[in-house]
Amino acid sequence: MRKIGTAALVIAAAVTLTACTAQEPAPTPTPTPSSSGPTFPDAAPFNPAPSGAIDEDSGEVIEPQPVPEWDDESREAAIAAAETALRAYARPNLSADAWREGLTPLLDQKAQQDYSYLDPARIVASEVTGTGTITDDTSAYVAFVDVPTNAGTYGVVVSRADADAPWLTSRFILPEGVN
Amino acid sequence: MAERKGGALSIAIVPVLLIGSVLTIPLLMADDSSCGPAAVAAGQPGASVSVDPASVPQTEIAGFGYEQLVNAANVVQAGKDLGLNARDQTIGVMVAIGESSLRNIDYGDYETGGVTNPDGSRTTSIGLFQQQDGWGSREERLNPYVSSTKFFQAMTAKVPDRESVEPTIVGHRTQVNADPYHYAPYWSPAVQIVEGLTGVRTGLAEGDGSASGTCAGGTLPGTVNAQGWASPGAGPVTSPYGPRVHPVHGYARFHGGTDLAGGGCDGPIWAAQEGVVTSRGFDGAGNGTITVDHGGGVQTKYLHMYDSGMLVQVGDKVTAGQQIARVGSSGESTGCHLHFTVVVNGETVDPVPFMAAVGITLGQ
Repeated sequence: MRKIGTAALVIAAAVTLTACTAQEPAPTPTPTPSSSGPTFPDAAPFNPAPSGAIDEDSGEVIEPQPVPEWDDESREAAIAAAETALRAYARPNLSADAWREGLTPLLDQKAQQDYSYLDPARIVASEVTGTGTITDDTSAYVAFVDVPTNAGTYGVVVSRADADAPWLTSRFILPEGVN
Repeated sequence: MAERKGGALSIAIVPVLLIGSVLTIPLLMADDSSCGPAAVAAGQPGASVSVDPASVPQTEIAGFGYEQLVNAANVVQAGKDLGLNARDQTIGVMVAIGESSLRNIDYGDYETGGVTNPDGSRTTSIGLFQQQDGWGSREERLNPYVSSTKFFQAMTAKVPDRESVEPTIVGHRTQVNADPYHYAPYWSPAVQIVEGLTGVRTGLAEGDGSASGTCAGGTLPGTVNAQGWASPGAGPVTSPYGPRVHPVHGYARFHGGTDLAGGGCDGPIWAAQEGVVTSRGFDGAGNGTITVDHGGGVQTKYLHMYDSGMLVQVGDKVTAGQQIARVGSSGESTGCHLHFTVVVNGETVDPVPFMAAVGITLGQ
């Protein structure tokens, strides 16, 4: 046994080394960004796209987009959007078609796709019981909102394309232990 | 095999975190012929991986013990016997983790938590996949091999397009559970288990529950410079930022970004800087697009990925140089490339001088 144990140790060490080497290719000089964060260039103009031109890829008219920031109005709108989406979601007694019809306009493109197979009968919440709270506002384009229901607190992830765009829901995060 | 044995034996004396690495070592010498989706695309029938449940070693993988690994081996074998590929088999293991932690639970949620069905009847979900009465007899649902077979049969019937669907969504569409994203955290352990048990490098990327999770391989970090920025993709520049005249119709358009070859189809796309993912999906013209907000009024956009090549979700926090996508050719694109856009204070700007100002030469 002792012999095997030693051999195993050696192999384990060799193997561990190999594994580490494999996972970290070349020790490239990648300085950790300083605590002051990444550098931004001066707001000097970098040849902005002309307003009114047609974007070659999207086919849409190029226009400066209003940059959002977190003000009271934005917070209220994000919370309201999350509550509205959760109210549309927490209707387990609706037919699947009626449920989708109510919810789809409140979702972003990816969520529309992902939630289209859900059987609303599986949803445990049926009532929003309180006011939403923003728990993460790192980006002014995205909010994580906690909303209480009769089946526990759901997280709702909402995002907006610019300051004038509506808040759309990307995801409902279920209370712990629910699936 | 000697190496594998040694790895397994030595598990008790290496830190838990290393277990995954140790067990995947035999994979280095395995061939990639079983690589799931690509093998299927190439029309190869034998894309399954295999493990005899009776030969599962007394070991632990990704925190799962012997009994659970034997159950996983049954899932893998049931998939193999149906001719499914490694990705499908791994999805089965992922779902079983999400349903039962790979334990063959012989009592329903009603008994433990008083959980009832929407119509008030007692839930009777049992077994690896927590299947209710409709799935089969109690004996069938409590037989790991049979219940796995029933899961896979439902999966192939319900999700015929699953190669282009994220694993968690494949599981959701099969199980019709309450949360489409429930299984996502279990993809990585499922890959570790399947590879650890079979000794085959599946080409499935751990920690990448995207639809691809394919032979494209794992994710690769980019290089971050001292200013905290990274190149979004490999060069060369294939089409610069600026005005265009349509070659046929003559009308004017504007190319609002820099096109990069990006290493071709499935090449890695890296976040140019740390930030929050603010959108992920397709625009009106069908361009698969990810947008990252870096703060300071700066956003970057990455275009033309397929759904299967987008590895992050709205709200995800990414680091500079993190691989967030794979190069694709969706929307207004005639071949795989990365279209990289920089937006400053709401205005689309030329990415080349912008990135140069932070020390990154696009196209290199």
